Amino acid sequence: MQFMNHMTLGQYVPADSFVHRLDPRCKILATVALLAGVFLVTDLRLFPGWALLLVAVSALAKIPLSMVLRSARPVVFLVLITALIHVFLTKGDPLWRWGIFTITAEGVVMASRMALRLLFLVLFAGLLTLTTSPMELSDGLERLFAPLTPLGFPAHDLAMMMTIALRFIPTLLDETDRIMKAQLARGADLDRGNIVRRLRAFIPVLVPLFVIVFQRADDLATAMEARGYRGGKGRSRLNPLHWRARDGLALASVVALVVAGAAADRWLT
Amino acid sequence: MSLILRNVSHSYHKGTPLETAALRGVSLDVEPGQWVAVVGHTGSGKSTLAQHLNALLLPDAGEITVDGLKAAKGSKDLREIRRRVGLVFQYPEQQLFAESVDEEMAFGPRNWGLPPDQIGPAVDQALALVDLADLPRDRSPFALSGGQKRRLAIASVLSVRPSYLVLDEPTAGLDSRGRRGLMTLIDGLRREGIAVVQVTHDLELALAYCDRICVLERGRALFWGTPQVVVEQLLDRPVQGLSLPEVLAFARDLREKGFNVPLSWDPYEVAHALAKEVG
Amino acid sequence: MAEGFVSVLKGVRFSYPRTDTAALDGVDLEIRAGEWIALLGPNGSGKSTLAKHLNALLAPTQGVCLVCGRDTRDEKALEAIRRLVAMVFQNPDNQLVAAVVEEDAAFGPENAGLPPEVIRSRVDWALSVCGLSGKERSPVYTLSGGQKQRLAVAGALAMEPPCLVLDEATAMLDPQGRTEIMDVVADLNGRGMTIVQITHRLEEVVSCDRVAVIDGGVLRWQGTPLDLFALGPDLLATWGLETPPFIRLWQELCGAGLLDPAVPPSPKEVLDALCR
Repeated sequence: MQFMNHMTLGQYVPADSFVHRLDPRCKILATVALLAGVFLVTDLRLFPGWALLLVAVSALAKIPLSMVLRSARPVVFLVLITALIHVFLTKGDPLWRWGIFTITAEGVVMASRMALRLLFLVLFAGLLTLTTSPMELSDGLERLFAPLTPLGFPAHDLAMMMTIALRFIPTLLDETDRIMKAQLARGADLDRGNIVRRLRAFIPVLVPLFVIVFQRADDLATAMEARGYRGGKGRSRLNPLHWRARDGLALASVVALVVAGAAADRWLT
Repeated sequence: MSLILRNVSHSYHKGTPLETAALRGVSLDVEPGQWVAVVGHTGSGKSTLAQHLNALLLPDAGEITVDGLKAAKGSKDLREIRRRVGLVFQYPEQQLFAESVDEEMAFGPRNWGLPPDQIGPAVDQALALVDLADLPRDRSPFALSGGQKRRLAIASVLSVRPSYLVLDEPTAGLDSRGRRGLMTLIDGLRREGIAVVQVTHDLELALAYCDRICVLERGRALFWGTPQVVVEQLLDRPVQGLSLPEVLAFARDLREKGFNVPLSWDPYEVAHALAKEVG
Repeated sequence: MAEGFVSVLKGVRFSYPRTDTAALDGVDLEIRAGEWIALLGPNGSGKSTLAKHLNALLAPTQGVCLVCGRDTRDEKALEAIRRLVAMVFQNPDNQLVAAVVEEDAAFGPENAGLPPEVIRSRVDWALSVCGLSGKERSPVYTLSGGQKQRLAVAGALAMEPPCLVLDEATAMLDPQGRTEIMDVVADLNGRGMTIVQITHRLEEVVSCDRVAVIDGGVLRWQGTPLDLFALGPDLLATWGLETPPFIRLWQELCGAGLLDPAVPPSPKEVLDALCR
């Protein structure tokens, strides 16, 4: 039915788990620490550690590993390109040569490192969005950035925009799907020709989509106003964030792991 | 010359844990000039069926032929089938995109490679069919009224002269005036020899206007026939999410109480029979 | 909960910016505590414009609209007015803000800055009234159309407003979804909530206390549903209203003297009356 599938977007999967119950700020900071860790660690021998951690956290979050892995699907192509570029362009001891193509040992190592880094980056970020509802995520970000509000940083507005964007992604995908089919039924040719032709062919999809998005935005603004929305001032929360001991412990463990990883990396290289 | 479905089945997300059967062995024929309704509850498979009629979706099992052309994977007739069977989606006014009425109307004919000298007459004819012949052609489609937009969107599908027109919930969001206008318009198309398949959850509407009705429940075509036949079947076996027309259910209850009234959904017929009976 | 609620419109005229014609052309209307009133009219009649005046989303160009004595043109009264009158709109997808059921239901009370425990009890109550208990943590996109619209109603209820305005809230739903919403609305009215229902479907006004017909921005008629149906299909058609088949049957039976026009046009009651 769908050209695009909801599940590939690393969307929130509700479950009753330790990870789901953690404060979103803890999860956001832990994810940032992990992303830093993925960049700090260069030695390939330590990478199975990331895999182990990923499996462990998925199990703790009661989310099937297959679903976590699927969240990386949109970047598989990018990962492959990155790997190919590094395989062929890294100088060093040649392992194999064919015409102008040379593969070096350093190239293979570099390619694996870059590809795996990118992959873990996306997978750890995916774990965050799979276990944290958009509302929690934006609440968390809003609170983390709140200290910047006096400096004019629109923490609340950005958080609200993010919430709404996430809320409407599935709806807009359905809408895009329907319009594409409607234009296909009118004989549109959406997937042939070069990139310029394809972009032109997409105008009959893009224009109606813009019209719908603006209509929606207008309706939504009216509905939000009718429901008493006046920006972030004076707003309270159904589920206010509570930083508990377990959040501190969880974050500390993750940071400790990252530091240990970085230290081990130095020691190994 | 007809549109024939034989034992058509279709599943979504095939081969994954999410696999769901949307159509299970549906058979149906549409003859030229006929007005057929496909009636069912949300999730009965009626929109999936609509997309099979013009080969946007292809059956996993079973056979679909349009005027003898086969709709199957790899068939080189798929494009021709899509031209012959026009498909109008729900809220078709949302598909409008061009800067002028003329451009909007010419989109389909150009896509199907109609010779330029034929596009003008085809557009004129299609606009006349939906009662928009007098519309200024340079006007932006977005400046039209809601009802005009919907009719323009239907005309844009008619502009490639399809033999069959499939409409998914064409009356959604219209008030009674708009609804009646649209039904009159469809009736006019039928008189021009175009077969119409109307997908709807409104059984009352189908009974009032259509020649043949196919009732879907969970992807199965439960009943198929003239309104009278389908009504008799519906009285025997209720269908999920589809309530009987109130007048019909009332007539049935009257008969159970011993009144001699026909099993009809026409209020006047029931009222007159009742007047004779009581008076 | 409806005690003392009243909304008064006097000579309300309204034109949208950059248009010549008035969407509302001198409307006088009073909405009283605890009643269920339907504003009936075809598309473009001005009924939705009128609805948006009731909670100050629009303010009259001329005339006055008072909600419990508060003028809707008064910026300072907006917050209070929106707590008195909650709205549900036509397209469920365009009014749900959050991606998770309970978080959307909580949006209004959150804006009002209520304490979390109060929000929690209101959300639980509103979701249970709307038959959505057990779906608190479900993602909104997994709901059916009828469920989404019930969530929109729950979001309005969580404000505990004395008055609920439904602006064609059933127009985009299938028959089952429509019934779901109408059942919730009847229940709420039974609990004393004032209901203003905007629709073009006569079959939805059978259980209302009062009907106001709007066409061309003007209030054409006011009265009970029974009196409205008694006007006959032809007059109703001139206001762009189509009489549903069962009501036509009821009209025929009343016209032929077979039925007392005091019997409401519901199949059960008509059948009982005929059997007597």
